[in-house]
Amino acid sequence: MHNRRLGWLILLLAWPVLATARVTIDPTTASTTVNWTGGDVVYDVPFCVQSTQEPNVNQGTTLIPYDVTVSIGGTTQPYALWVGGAGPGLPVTAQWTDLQTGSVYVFSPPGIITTPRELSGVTDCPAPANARLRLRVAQADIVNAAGGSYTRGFTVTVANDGAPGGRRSHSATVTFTINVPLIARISQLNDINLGIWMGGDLIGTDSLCIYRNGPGLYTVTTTGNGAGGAYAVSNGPVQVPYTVDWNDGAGFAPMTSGASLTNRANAWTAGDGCNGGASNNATVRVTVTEAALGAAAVTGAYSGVLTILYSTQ
Amino acid sequence: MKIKALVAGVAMMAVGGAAFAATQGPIGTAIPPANATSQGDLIINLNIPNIVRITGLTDIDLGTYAGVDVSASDALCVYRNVTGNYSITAQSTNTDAANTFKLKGAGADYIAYSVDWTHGGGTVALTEGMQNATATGGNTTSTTCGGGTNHSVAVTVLATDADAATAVGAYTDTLVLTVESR
Repeated sequence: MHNRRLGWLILLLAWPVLATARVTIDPTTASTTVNWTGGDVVYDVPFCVQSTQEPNVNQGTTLIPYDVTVSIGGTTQPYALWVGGAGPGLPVTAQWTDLQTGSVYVFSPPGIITTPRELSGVTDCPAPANARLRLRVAQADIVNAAGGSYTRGFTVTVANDGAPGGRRSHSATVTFTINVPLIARISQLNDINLGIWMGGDLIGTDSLCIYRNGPGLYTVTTTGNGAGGAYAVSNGPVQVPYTVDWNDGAGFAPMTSGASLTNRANAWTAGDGCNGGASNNATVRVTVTEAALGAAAVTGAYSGVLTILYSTQ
Repeated sequence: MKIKALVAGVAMMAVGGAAFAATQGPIGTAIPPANATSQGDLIINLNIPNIVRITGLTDIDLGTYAGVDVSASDALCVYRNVTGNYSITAQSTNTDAANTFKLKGAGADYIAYSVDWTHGGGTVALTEGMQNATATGGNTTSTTCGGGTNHSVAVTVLATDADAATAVGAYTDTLVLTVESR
């Protein structure tokens, strides 16, 4: 009896020496290429993560916590997609979700970030995903970026601190590419309120933003909503004509409803919205002549819609 | 005789603020050589009130008194943007409490005169400072009657009034005409 107890003791003392840690991330490569057409770009990469101690006394293979690190090639560079191999490029936000627990970790600020430890819930990979890396690029950043192909490889490393002798670190590479096209936008438009006519011509202007994400000329076409698309404000069936002029910074040029005014210059390229309007770069002017106003047969409020179509050249 | 002031009477209307707002263009994308486009629109608002205007006035020179009644007129333009009556009020700068049109001489000497207004409904004698609300026939298409005239103002100095003047010399008045839509 005494010898039998001694044998069990020897066995228990020897068992931990045989135990090894193991950590796996699967797949070890993933990539996507997105041709941007609008909106935030989200790249979800599902992973199977195994983090185990095998075997444990009286427990067999057991789950042990792991942590995850996301970096640009193991460096402390900010998360960003680069164009032509250079930054700063498109900022990327990254987050890790443990699909078993629902816990979400945001890698902020970017760089080499380690999450708090999580249990993977999987004892062997490949298996259904139990974690997810989400990379996101905001539309606001894409809109303001020059055209081109933006790409970067992200290194995702999972690790545990189980007993030595096994694999305690494993990495995957995620390549994220966004092709940014030619982008154009007209914004900062405001209504033109000409007020109450007290005699004389009525003249109003609106300063606006013509943006494109690279240098070049543009074409603008304005159309009224009077009869046949004419420039006119209306009060019921009564219409009062007006004229339209466009200024790209080189002086006002007369426009004809529905006709294109080509070779306009001075498009803003430093970001959508022209600094919130502070750097607006075009002006549309509306003129209602006294003769037209004087001939109006009805008093009251007049209103019209002026549509502006902007196109890159 | 100077017709100094022309007054456009405007009946104000509430500004009809349209319940619209400019629409910003969406982001347009394209792969070159295609062009990217973006379209927005804005609203143009204005308000046309009842408005009248009197233009084309010129001074009236009655010349040198020659012992008989003297009269002269000035053709002018009255514009009213919609069909309807308007009122006319004539005011003499030299008037007194008696509501009399008066020319003033070098000192405290005055000569009374009368004013007649010819409009689309005929000719009416005006009382100084009193509104006559029956005038019709304002031009409705051109604030300046296309450069022409449609109504007139006439002034008359009776010989009996001129004879009563106690001083020789120049007599003058500024006649202020005010039109107002009715």
